[in-house]
Amino acid sequence: MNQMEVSFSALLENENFARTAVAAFLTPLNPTIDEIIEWKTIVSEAVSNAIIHGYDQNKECFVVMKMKVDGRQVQLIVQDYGKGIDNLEEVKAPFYTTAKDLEHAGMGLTIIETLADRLEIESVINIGTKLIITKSLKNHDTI
Amino acid sequence: MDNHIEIEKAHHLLIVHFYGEIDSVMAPVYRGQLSDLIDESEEDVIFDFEKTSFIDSSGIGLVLGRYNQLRFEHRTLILTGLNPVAYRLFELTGMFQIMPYYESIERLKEGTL
Repeated sequence: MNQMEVSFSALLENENFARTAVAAFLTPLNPTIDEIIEWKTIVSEAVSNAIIHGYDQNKECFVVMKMKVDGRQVQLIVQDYGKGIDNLEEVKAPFYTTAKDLEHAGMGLTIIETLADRLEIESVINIGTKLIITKSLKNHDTI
Repeated sequence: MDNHIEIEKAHHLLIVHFYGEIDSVMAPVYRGQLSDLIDESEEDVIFDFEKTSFIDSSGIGLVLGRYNQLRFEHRTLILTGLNPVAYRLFELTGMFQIMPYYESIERLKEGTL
Protein backbone atom coordinates (compact mmCIF):
# COMPACT_ATOMS: atom_id res chain seq x y z
CA MET A 1 0.00 0.00 0.00
CA ASN A 2 1.25 3.46 -0.94
CA GLN A 3 -0.54 6.76 -0.46
CA MET A 4 -0.14 10.44 -1.23
CA GLU A 5 -2.07 13.56 -0.40
CA VAL A 6 -1.71 17.08 -1.76
CA SER A 7 -3.67 20.25 -1.29
CA PHE A 8 -3.53 23.24 -3.64
CA SER A 9 -5.24 26.57 -4.36
CA ALA A 10 -8.36 26.48 -6.54
CA LEU A 11 -6.51 27.84 -9.57
CA LEU A 12 -6.94 26.29 -13.01
CA GLU A 13 -3.16 26.57 -13.45
CA ASN A 14 -2.85 23.88 -10.75
CA GLU A 15 -4.59 21.28 -12.93
CA ASN A 16 -1.26 20.71 -14.65
CA PHE A 17 0.40 20.21 -11.25
CA ALA A 18 -2.32 17.73 -10.22
CA ARG A 19 -1.99 15.72 -13.46
CA THR A 20 1.79 15.65 -13.22
CA ALA A 21 1.75 14.63 -9.53
CA VAL A 22 -0.56 11.69 -10.24
CA ALA A 23 1.45 10.59 -13.27
CA ALA A 24 4.68 10.69 -11.23
CA PHE A 25 3.08 8.80 -8.33
CA LEU A 26 1.89 6.01 -10.67
CA THR A 27 5.11 5.74 -12.71
CA PRO A 28 6.78 3.11 -10.45
CA LEU A 29 3.82 0.79 -11.21
CA ASN A 30 4.86 0.77 -14.84
CA PRO A 31 1.53 1.84 -16.38
CA THR A 32 1.03 1.99 -20.14
CA ILE A 33 1.10 5.38 -21.90
CA ASP A 34 -2.65 5.14 -22.42
CA GLU A 35 -3.22 4.42 -18.72
CA ILE A 36 -1.23 7.52 -17.80
CA ILE A 37 -3.26 9.62 -20.26
CA GLU A 38 -6.48 8.14 -18.85
CA TRP A 39 -5.48 9.02 -15.29
CA LYS A 40 -4.39 12.51 -16.33
CA THR A 41 -7.76 13.03 -18.02
CA ILE A 42 -9.65 11.79 -14.93
CA VAL A 43 -7.61 14.14 -12.68
CA SER A 44 -8.16 17.07 -15.01
CA GLU A 45 -11.94 16.61 -15.12
CA ALA A 46 -12.26 16.04 -11.36
CA VAL A 47 -10.03 18.97 -10.38
CA SER A 48 -11.60 21.43 -12.82
CA ASN A 49 -15.06 20.47 -11.50
CA ALA A 50 -13.88 21.24 -7.95
CA ILE A 51 -12.31 24.57 -8.97
CA ILE A 52 -15.00 25.82 -11.35
CA HIS A 53 -18.20 24.39 -9.87
CA GLY A 54 -17.26 23.74 -6.23
CA TYR A 55 -15.44 26.99 -5.63
CA ASP A 56 -16.42 29.34 -8.52
CA GLN A 57 -12.65 29.72 -9.01
CA ASN A 58 -12.16 31.37 -5.62
CA LYS A 59 -8.39 31.06 -5.28
CA GLU A 60 -8.52 31.45 -1.50
CA CYS A 61 -9.96 27.91 -1.36
CA PHE A 62 -8.13 24.59 -1.49
CA VAL A 63 -8.67 21.38 -3.42
CA VAL A 64 -7.52 18.19 -1.69
CA MET A 65 -6.34 15.27 -3.78
CA LYS A 66 -5.46 11.87 -2.35
CA MET A 67 -4.27 8.77 -4.14
CA LYS A 68 -3.98 5.26 -2.75
CA VAL A 69 -2.41 2.28 -4.47
CA ASP A 70 -2.94 -1.28 -3.28
CA GLY A 71 -1.44 -3.84 -5.66
CA ARG A 72 -2.74 -2.78 -9.11
CA GLN A 73 -5.82 -1.14 -7.59
CA VAL A 74 -5.73 2.67 -7.65
CA GLN A 75 -8.10 4.97 -5.82
CA LEU A 76 -8.25 8.74 -6.33
CA ILE A 77 -10.16 11.13 -4.09
CA VAL A 78 -10.72 14.73 -5.17
CA GLN A 79 -12.40 16.82 -2.54
CA ASP A 80 -13.59 20.41 -2.28
CA TYR A 81 -15.27 22.28 0.57
CA GLY A 82 -17.37 24.38 -1.77
CA LYS A 83 -21.02 24.80 -2.56
CA GLY A 84 -21.95 21.16 -3.15
CA ILE A 85 -24.23 19.60 -5.76
CA ASP A 86 -27.99 19.99 -5.63
CA ASN A 87 -29.08 17.05 -7.76
CA LEU A 88 -26.53 14.28 -8.24
CA GLU A 89 -28.47 12.44 -10.96
CA GLU A 90 -28.82 15.63 -13.00
CA VAL A 91 -25.11 16.49 -12.99
CA LYS A 92 -24.18 12.98 -14.13
CA ALA A 93 -26.25 13.30 -17.30
CA PRO A 94 -24.15 13.86 -20.44
CA PHE A 95 -23.97 17.48 -21.67
CA TYR A 96 -25.33 18.82 -18.36
CA THR A 97 -23.56 22.08 -17.58
CA THR A 98 -24.18 25.16 -15.47
CA ALA A 99 -21.58 27.15 -17.43
CA LYS A 100 -22.75 27.02 -21.07
CA ASP A 101 -21.36 30.47 -21.88
CA LEU A 102 -17.83 29.32 -21.09
CA GLU A 103 -18.02 26.59 -23.75
CA HIS A 104 -17.86 23.79 -21.22
CA ALA A 105 -19.00 20.62 -22.88
CA GLY A 106 -20.71 19.32 -19.73
CA MET A 107 -18.98 15.99 -20.19
CA GLY A 108 -16.58 15.91 -17.22
CA LEU A 109 -18.34 13.31 -15.08
CA THR A 110 -19.37 11.22 -18.10
CA ILE A 111 -15.71 11.12 -19.14
CA ILE A 112 -14.61 10.05 -15.65
CA GLU A 113 -17.29 7.33 -15.57
CA THR A 114 -16.13 6.07 -18.97
CA LEU A 115 -12.42 5.96 -18.15
CA ALA A 116 -12.67 4.71 -14.55
CA ASP A 117 -13.89 1.40 -13.20
CA ARG A 118 -16.05 3.14 -10.63
CA LEU A 119 -17.10 6.69 -9.69
CA GLU A 120 -18.79 7.56 -6.41
CA ILE A 121 -19.93 11.08 -5.58
CA GLU A 122 -20.64 12.33 -2.08
CA SER A 123 -21.96 15.85 -1.88
CA VAL A 124 -23.66 18.05 0.69
CA ILE A 125 -24.90 21.56 -0.09
CA ASN A 126 -22.53 24.20 1.31
CA ILE A 127 -20.28 21.51 2.81
CA GLY A 128 -18.57 20.26 -0.32
CA THR A 129 -18.14 17.47 -2.82
CA LYS A 130 -15.99 14.38 -2.82
CA LEU A 131 -15.29 12.25 -5.89
CA ILE A 132 -14.01 8.73 -5.23
CA ILE A 133 -12.62 7.16 -8.35
CA THR A 134 -11.26 3.62 -8.61
CA LYS A 135 -9.49 2.03 -11.52
CA SER A 136 -7.16 -0.97 -11.80
CA LEU A 137 -3.91 -0.83 -13.71
CA LYS A 138 -3.48 -3.67 -16.17
CA ASN A 139 -1.11 -6.49 -15.32
CA HIS A 140 1.63 -6.75 -17.86
CA ASP A 141 5.19 -8.00 -18.05
CA THR A 142 7.59 -5.56 -16.49
CA ILE A 143 10.65 -6.97 -18.24
CA MET B 1 6.38 20.57 -24.48
CA ASP B 2 5.48 24.21 -24.97
CA ASN B 3 1.73 24.68 -25.49
CA HIS B 4 0.98 26.56 -28.68
CA ILE B 5 -0.74 26.42 -32.07
CA GLU B 6 0.73 26.74 -35.55
CA ILE B 7 -1.32 27.80 -38.55
CA GLU B 8 -0.70 26.50 -42.06
CA LYS B 9 -2.55 27.31 -45.28
CA ALA B 10 -2.51 24.52 -47.85
CA HIS B 11 -4.83 23.16 -50.58
CA HIS B 12 -7.43 25.86 -49.83
CA LEU B 13 -7.58 24.65 -46.24
CA LEU B 14 -6.63 26.28 -42.98
CA ILE B 15 -4.68 23.76 -40.90
CA VAL B 16 -4.30 24.35 -37.16
CA HIS B 17 -1.63 22.20 -35.48
CA PHE B 18 -2.00 21.96 -31.68
CA TYR B 19 1.22 21.39 -29.72
CA GLY B 20 1.38 20.21 -26.09
CA GLU B 21 -1.65 20.17 -23.81
CA ILE B 22 -5.19 21.51 -24.24
CA ASP B 23 -6.82 22.02 -20.83
CA SER B 24 -8.92 24.60 -18.93
CA VAL B 25 -6.02 27.05 -19.03
CA MET B 26 -5.18 26.75 -22.74
CA ALA B 27 -8.69 26.28 -24.18
CA PRO B 28 -9.81 29.91 -23.57
CA VAL B 29 -6.50 31.19 -25.04
CA TYR B 30 -7.01 29.13 -28.21
CA ARG B 31 -10.69 30.08 -28.34
CA GLY B 32 -9.73 33.76 -28.69
CA GLN B 33 -7.02 33.10 -31.29
CA LEU B 34 -9.12 30.70 -33.37
CA SER B 35 -12.34 32.74 -33.27
CA ASP B 36 -10.44 35.66 -34.82
CA LEU B 37 -8.67 33.43 -37.32
CA ILE B 38 -11.98 31.92 -38.47
CA ASP B 39 -13.60 35.36 -38.68
CA GLU B 40 -10.78 36.62 -40.89
CA SER B 41 -10.72 33.65 -43.29
CA GLU B 42 -13.04 31.75 -45.63
CA GLU B 43 -11.45 28.30 -45.90
CA ASP B 44 -12.59 25.03 -44.41
CA VAL B 45 -10.56 24.18 -41.31
CA ILE B 46 -8.52 21.19 -40.10
CA PHE B 47 -7.69 20.78 -36.41
CA ASP B 48 -4.63 18.51 -36.22
CA PHE B 49 -3.88 16.87 -32.85
CA GLU B 50 -0.89 14.79 -33.97
CA LYS B 51 1.42 16.75 -31.64
CA THR B 52 -1.10 17.10 -28.81
CA SER B 53 -0.03 15.18 -25.70
CA PHE B 54 -3.20 15.81 -23.69
CA ILE B 55 -6.76 17.01 -24.28
CA ASP B 56 -9.66 17.07 -21.81
CA SER B 57 -13.32 18.15 -21.94
CA SER B 58 -12.36 21.82 -22.19
CA GLY B 59 -10.65 20.87 -25.47
CA ILE B 60 -13.85 19.17 -26.60
CA GLY B 61 -15.72 22.38 -25.71
CA LEU B 62 -13.23 24.37 -27.76
CA VAL B 63 -13.70 22.13 -30.80
CA LEU B 64 -17.50 22.19 -30.46
CA GLY B 65 -17.49 25.98 -30.20
CA ARG B 66 -15.40 26.42 -33.36
CA TYR B 67 -17.55 23.82 -35.16
CA ASN B 68 -20.63 25.92 -34.39
CA GLN B 69 -18.86 29.10 -35.50
CA LEU B 70 -17.85 27.50 -38.83
CA ARG B 71 -21.20 25.81 -39.40
CA PHE B 72 -22.88 29.20 -39.25
CA GLU B 73 -20.86 30.12 -42.37
CA HIS B 74 -21.42 26.72 -44.03
CA ARG B 75 -17.76 25.81 -43.55
CA THR B 76 -16.44 22.38 -42.55
CA LEU B 77 -14.27 21.41 -39.58
CA ILE B 78 -12.16 18.26 -39.98
CA LEU B 79 -10.23 16.59 -37.13
CA THR B 80 -7.00 14.58 -37.43
CA GLY B 81 -4.39 12.80 -35.31
CA LEU B 82 -6.04 12.18 -31.92
CA ASN B 83 -4.28 9.83 -29.47
CA PRO B 84 -6.28 6.65 -28.59
CA VAL B 85 -7.63 7.98 -25.26
CA ALA B 86 -8.67 11.34 -26.75
CA TYR B 87 -10.25 9.48 -29.69
CA ARG B 88 -12.44 7.52 -27.25
CA LEU B 89 -13.58 10.73 -25.55
CA PHE B 90 -14.43 12.43 -28.85
CA GLU B 91 -16.32 9.30 -29.90
CA LEU B 92 -18.16 9.21 -26.57
CA THR B 93 -19.27 12.82 -26.94
CA GLY B 94 -20.61 12.20 -30.45
CA MET B 95 -18.14 14.49 -32.20
CA PHE B 96 -17.57 12.13 -35.14
CA GLN B 97 -21.29 12.16 -35.90
CA ILE B 98 -21.05 15.83 -36.82
CA MET B 99 -17.51 16.25 -38.16
CA PRO B 100 -15.16 14.08 -40.25
CA TYR B 101 -12.08 12.46 -38.73
CA TYR B 102 -8.88 11.18 -40.34
CA GLU B 103 -5.99 9.39 -38.59
CA SER B 104 -3.51 11.87 -40.03
CA ILE B 105 -3.25 14.73 -42.50
CA GLU B 106 -1.52 12.32 -44.90
CA ARG B 107 -4.58 10.04 -44.76
CA LEU B 108 -6.83 13.00 -45.43
CA LYS B 109 -4.77 13.97 -48.48
CA GLU B 110 -4.87 10.39 -49.83
CA GLY B 111 -8.63 10.37 -49.47
CA THR B 112 -9.53 13.74 -50.90
CA LEU B 113 -6.79 15.09 -53.15
